[in-house]
Amino acid sequence: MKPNFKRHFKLSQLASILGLSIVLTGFAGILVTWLAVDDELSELLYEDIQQQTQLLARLINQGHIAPDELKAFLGESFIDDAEDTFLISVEHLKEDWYTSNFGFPKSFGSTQTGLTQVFHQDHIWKGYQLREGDLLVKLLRRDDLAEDFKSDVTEDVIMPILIGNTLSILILLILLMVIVRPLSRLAGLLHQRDAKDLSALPQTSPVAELQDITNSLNHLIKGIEQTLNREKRFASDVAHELRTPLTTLKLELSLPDLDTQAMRQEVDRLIRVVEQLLTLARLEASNWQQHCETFNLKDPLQSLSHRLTSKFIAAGITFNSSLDDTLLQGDSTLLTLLVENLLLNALRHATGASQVTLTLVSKGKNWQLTVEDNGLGIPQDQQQRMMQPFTRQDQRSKGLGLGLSIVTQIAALHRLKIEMHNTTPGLSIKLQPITQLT
Amino acid sequence: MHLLLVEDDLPLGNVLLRLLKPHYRVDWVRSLTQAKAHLQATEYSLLLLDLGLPDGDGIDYLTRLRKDKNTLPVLIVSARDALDERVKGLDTGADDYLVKPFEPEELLARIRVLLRRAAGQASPILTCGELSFDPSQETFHLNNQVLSLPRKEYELLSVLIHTAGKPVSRDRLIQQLYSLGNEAESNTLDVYIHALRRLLGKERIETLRGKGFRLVNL
Repeated sequence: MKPNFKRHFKLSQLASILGLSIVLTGFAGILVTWLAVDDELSELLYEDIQQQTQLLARLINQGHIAPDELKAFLGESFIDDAEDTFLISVEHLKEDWYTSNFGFPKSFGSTQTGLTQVFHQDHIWKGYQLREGDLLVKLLRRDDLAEDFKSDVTEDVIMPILIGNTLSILILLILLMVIVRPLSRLAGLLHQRDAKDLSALPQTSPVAELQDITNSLNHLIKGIEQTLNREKRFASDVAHELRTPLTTLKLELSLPDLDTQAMRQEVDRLIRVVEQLLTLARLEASNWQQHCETFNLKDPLQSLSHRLTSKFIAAGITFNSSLDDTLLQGDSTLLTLLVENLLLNALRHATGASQVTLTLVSKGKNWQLTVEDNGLGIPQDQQQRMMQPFTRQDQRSKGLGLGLSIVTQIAALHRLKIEMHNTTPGLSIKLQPITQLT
Repeated sequence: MHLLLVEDDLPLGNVLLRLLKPHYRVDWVRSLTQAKAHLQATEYSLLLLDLGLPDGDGIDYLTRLRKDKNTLPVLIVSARDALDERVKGLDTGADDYLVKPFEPEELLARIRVLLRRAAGQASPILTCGELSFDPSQETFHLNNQVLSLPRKEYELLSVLIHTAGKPVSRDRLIQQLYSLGNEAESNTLDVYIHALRRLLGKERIETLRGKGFRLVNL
């Protein structure tokens, strides 16, 4: 079995990709959160420290805080070595005084207003320096404060993301279990199956869609089994129909008083069976050379009626025919065989019939052929089934059950439709072109 | 020996009847319903059963027959030749299975085997003391001398020897002599028994009051 798709993949491969994407999305989420927090926090801290630096510079410039006061203050406050402590240094470039906490030494870097960063007491400090006149004020914060913030926020985000991802991957695994595994099992069961094994497949999954597949397969298997059984019975019927006359012939030949009349009848019976089989085989192979011609259906049917009248009389059935001139295109031999089969069916199988009528009505291009009897008819549920090959009305019926099958195939070749319905009393079979407009 | 042939095919039944008639008394029916009625009315030695019958399947009928503890020898004669069908036929309770078409000699030989087996004898020659019967030759021997028997006496003696020393009822013997619907008076039987006794010796056929007759092992 070659797949119709040039590229094919395994569902489990797709699931792996999905799993990978879930994990990556999770990590990306964490990373993006971390970066976003970093960005926002830096901005926030920067703005905050900028304002505080300006406030401090203004206080000093306007003389609210004297340099001595500031020195004392810085010596007492802001000396805890904590994450949120400020590192403050104030320097007057002209008056040449300098003060700071944490023993931060006077540096000789840039004196321009802007962001600044120093390394002091094993920490990175980030902050802002402001130049107002000759006053240079630096306000810095330990970098690990920001880091702490970021870690806290990121930790808070990580938990739900991890739980969600784990849950998604768990569901993915369950999906694999209930879809891929049962599918592989089903495929395995089908693969291992012997061609003769027509038992139903077991359900391999609780998933409704997969159960539908199994049910459809079982339905198909059952159909195959029915067809096989029908053909098997047909083979056994063929065997019966051929072997019974052969046995009779064989036994007749062994007897001293040969009944040649009986033997002749048995040979005829064999010939009939073989002819029916051949007709069907040719029709089914669709290599029947259609002798399509325009002819008047009335002519062959008239001679058929003459031929069969004596048989009907022998069976005690009154046979009437009313035939219009009907010009149509087709194979006259096949169409005659079709009508002959319908009439012989009525003759053989119409239980309790005393009358059989053949009618051919022609209206312009349209025509309709009817075979009617006044027997017991056929139960509605059996009518459809009887059109299939090898189906016989019951075990009692002689023959192969090919009559109606041949009829349907010839009708199909000529684009004719057959309708069967019970009349009270009896059975009526109608034959007419499919394309007919009513 | 009285055979019941169940075969629905008219020409085949006809020719089978003509084949079997010179050897056995045969009743021919064409449906299971008729077969049932005949089996109730008459005691047969063998049933020749076709399987595909108009009012049912021979296998189903055989199943019922065996369920009712009927031990009548049954030979299935059928066109169904598949292995599982033959096995099913035999497992259902048939004593033999013959697939159509068959040679007439084979049918006759198989019937002889079944009758002999039913008589409890494995040897092709049935014996009762000094009296012996060769079914394939259809001849009786007494003290190694061929017995030449008229038709009716032959029929009676073949029934008696097939029952292997057990008593045979008067009805059963009368049935053997006359076809159904052509009932003989019961003293006609005594006439033929008398004739047989004259040929074989009086002591070989014992009269059992209320039970019928018995071949004595002498």
